[in-house]
Amino acid sequence: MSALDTAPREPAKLPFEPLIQTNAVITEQPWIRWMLIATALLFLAVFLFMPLVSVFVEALRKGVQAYFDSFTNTDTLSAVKLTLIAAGIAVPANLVFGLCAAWAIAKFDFRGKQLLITLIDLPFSVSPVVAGLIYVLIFGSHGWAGPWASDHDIKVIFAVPGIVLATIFVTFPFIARELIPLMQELGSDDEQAALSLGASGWQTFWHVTLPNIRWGLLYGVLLCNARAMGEFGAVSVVSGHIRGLTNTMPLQIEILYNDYQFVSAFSVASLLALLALVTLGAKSFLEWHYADQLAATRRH
Amino acid sequence: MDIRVKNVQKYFGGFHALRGVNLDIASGELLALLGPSGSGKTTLLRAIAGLEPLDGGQIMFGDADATRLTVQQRKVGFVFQQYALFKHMTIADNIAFGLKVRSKAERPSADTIHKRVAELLELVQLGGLEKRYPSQLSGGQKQRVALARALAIEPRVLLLDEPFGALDAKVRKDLRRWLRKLHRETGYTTIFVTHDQEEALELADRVVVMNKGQIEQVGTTDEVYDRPRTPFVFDFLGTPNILPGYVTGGRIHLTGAVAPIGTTALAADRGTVDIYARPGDFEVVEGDAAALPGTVVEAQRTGFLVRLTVQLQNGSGDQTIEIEIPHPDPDIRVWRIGDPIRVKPVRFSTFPRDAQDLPPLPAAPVPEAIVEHAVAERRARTRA
Repeated sequence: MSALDTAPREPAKLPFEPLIQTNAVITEQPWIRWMLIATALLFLAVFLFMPLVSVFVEALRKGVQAYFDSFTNTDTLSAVKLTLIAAGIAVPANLVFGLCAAWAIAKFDFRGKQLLITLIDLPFSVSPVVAGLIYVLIFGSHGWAGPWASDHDIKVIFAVPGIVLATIFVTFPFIARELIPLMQELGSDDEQAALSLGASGWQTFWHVTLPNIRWGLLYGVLLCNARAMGEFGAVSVVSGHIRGLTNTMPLQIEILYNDYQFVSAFSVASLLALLALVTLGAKSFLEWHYADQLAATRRH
Repeated sequence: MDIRVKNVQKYFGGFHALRGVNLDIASGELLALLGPSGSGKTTLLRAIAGLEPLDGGQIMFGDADATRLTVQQRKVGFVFQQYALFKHMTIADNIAFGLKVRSKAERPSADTIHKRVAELLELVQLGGLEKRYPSQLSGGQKQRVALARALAIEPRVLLLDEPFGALDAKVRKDLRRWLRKLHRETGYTTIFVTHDQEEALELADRVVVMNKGQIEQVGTTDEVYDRPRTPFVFDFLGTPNILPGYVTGGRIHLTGAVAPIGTTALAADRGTVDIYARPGDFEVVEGDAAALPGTVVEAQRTGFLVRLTVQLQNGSGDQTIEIEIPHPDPDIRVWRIGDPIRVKPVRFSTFPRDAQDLPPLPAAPVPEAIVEHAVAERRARTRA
């Protein structure tokens, strides 16, 4: 197109004037470039930026005092507490599981390895509502393990254990999926070297494996945590929505909104939004600083 | 400490990687495991280290059976092809690692560890770089750190897996020389794996040539080069010309030549054989009945040698061979394309044609005296 400049360029007058380099063959005309960028920005603005800003706008609509008053509600406080508990159990559990699965998959060959990899991806493909329903079907009063649970006086559905289980399910893959390609790429030479020098299995893991994967691990934990705290669908199904007892923050927001307590609803929502922003910031920092050690950045 | 490998077997799924390998390694020697990819040399090395469990056979460390020992218990120093240095530790920490992970009872004091690390850094000529990280080192330096790290635990045997494979040619040459010197100074039993025959011949006391999971030959560098046991060994340690021949009455003849080029102690007829000779083992002769006539097809000068491609007329179809001869005095002889020439191998190995895995005929290796005798005989006959 006209962007092709076939006229010979003047040679650079060293040392100050650099040659202007444009890859004229594959660059669009300026107006096309600007249009594409504008479309992307508009899309982001409408679907991402505006909702985020509106959360804070609505939360502060009645002033800062009303904002902080929203958090004095006991139901809201228990919701926050329950969210923290659920995430606090789900993330470490998935950390241990993710490490074990990645270790086994990256360093060994065994029957059923491919099946394990497929199963790890299952929670991504399943709707969160279905995920919650699974637990209702298993532990509900008419479920398989239901009678067993009530015999042992264990309440799973409509109680905290159910919420924790559902959260673990939906955040299952994050850490494993982050670590598997990373560990596969690292190989096991370092570990073999450590073993040949006399280190035990645990020493090898602690001094050699873990430091090699630490940034990928942190990245996975970050994503896992963000999802654990923000999960709605699966938790909603198993929760029972008992105020003050089985509501997590997302559920509490829904309840407050349905009760027409808009400011409170948005105030709690702003907490989640802040969490999202912090997660995003930390994620970007990790990607920028440790890109070579993160499988995720390579995947995208 | 000497090591004995007894009839070890290793399968990787359906692939038979080690087929009953037997090897005795003397204490303090520098041994090369040489072979193409897939020959089992790295598998054998890792089996000795304990990094590969065996499916059969035994490994003896001295008088003790080490087959069931874990890799930690064997106390071997293993150096990987890609160094496997711990990226997040300084060099000093890398070298000290083997000492720091020992149990409380065996661990030396922090002071001792520090001294030992300093000693080793001096030994590998990297003194002053303790605080550096592996990413700040060159390939050659990383390799030396890997070696120091393996030496820190005072291993019973040093095992090197293609130690110079990932380095460029100049660094490789320097490190080879340096390794030889180090071995002489420290005296550790050392086994290294390589696919580079030049490296094996230059460095090792003895060379083990492996192919398809089996040992083809074990011997000193002279033995494997001058007296190869199988066609594979001959072929791997140089580029042979293969000439058809036959053996009758205890004499080895080239097909197409009149007189024999050597004798064999076996009196009976052995039928057709293949005669393997390296380019540098040929002689240009005039009027020798044991030589083959041919025509120069290409002539190339390389330094003080001339490489000639000769098309032979040896009766079994035209065959081209490559020979190297010292560059002749230009006043006397210069080889041009189309010149007739008569060549004869003076050093060669004879292998039975159809049974490639049989040992070679016990032929007299350097039949100079015999050939002279045969020539003298012929002269005597023609004169008479």
